Amino acid sequence: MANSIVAAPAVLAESVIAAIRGRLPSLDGFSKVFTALEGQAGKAVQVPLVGYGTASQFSTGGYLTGDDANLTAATVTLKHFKYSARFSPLDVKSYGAQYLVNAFTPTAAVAIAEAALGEVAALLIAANYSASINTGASLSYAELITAKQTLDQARAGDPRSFVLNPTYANGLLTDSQLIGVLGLQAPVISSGKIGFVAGANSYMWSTLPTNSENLAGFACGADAIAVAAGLPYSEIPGFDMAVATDDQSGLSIQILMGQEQSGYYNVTATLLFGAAVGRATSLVRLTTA
Amino acid sequence: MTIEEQLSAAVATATALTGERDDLRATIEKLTVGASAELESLKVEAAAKDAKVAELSASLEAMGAELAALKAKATDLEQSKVSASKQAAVIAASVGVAPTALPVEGAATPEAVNHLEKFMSLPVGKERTDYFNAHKAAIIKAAI
Repeated sequence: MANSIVAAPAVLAESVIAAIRGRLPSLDGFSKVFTALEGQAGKAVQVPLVGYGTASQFSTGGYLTGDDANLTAATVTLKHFKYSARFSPLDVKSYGAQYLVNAFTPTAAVAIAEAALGEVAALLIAANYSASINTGASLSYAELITAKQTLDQARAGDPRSFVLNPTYANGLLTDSQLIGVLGLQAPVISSGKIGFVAGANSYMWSTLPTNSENLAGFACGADAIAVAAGLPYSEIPGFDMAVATDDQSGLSIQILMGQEQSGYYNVTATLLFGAAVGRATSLVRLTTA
Repeated sequence: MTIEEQLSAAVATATALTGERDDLRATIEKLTVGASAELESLKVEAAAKDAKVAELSASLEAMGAELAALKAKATDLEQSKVSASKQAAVIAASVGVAPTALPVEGAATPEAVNHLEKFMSLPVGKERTDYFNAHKAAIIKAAI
């Protein structure tokens, strides 16, 4: 297969999905439907919301009465995102596939991950999730417990997450209650990560927008946000296509690669992604004012 | 011819005939004796050949038995040779040497694994991703 780009898209797909995997861990805290099925922008995906159910006593109605009033679904409309880059055939020939991997993978992964996160971030406004706590300039462990209390009362689904901007996340690393009596041996000191705290996974979202509402983080159950992903139907004559799937999350990425008329190699990473509001009461916004 | 002359001629003829008869008798007797001797000789010769055939048959049978014994011996030796190889491998392993079979002359040597080809032949998913992560450098190097 030497002197051919047939295998390059598959190699890039595996590289990009590995890089994206590390940039979208917070998606594990949402209700999701990730598939590698091909579709197109505007496709509606029904995402079941992870919630709670109430069992009823068996009666003459038998099993025909539904007890899943709280296990509903949200409709997510997929958007088509792509990141394209162009490479000189001479560079590719001279430096090989490693050059392509190094030059394309990190940028494409960041671009695609940010596009996906942007869809989620756009939902995090008061109009969608009215519950909020003004946690000020910094976040304390006690305020996390307050947010947890709100989720508990709303019976938010599991798993739960705290998603924080860098200021809040790094501020928590110095919280005396998280360090506690362990001092320098506390996990947050050695790992630099908050990890699992107050019954929830904590994630740092470096580019979390304020949404002009002083947003600095949020606490949520898995049923608060519904996300879905798929792959676009892409057939470009003369282009090679490959797909890679993250076996843990199910998220897939598609790589297209071919030579343009100009002579340049065009490399594109693409996917369908969308997000929608799930149960509005299962998310608490943490604001600085 | 007178009577005396005729008698004398008859006596001479009779004598001649008698002599001839005696000669013929002697010849016949001689021939009879010779044939008997020849027959006797042939019988002796046949008996000798029968004996020789019997001797050779016995020899052949003995050689067949000897050949079977030799074949059995050869099989035993071959098996003991394999056991010796195994024993040698066990001894080598006991002192920390991993025994490796030497390539047999004329046998095809295994080709180096083509990781890119193997990677491309796998279906998209965990198995392919795991294989990519395990042989990333080789796959990327061979990709273009």
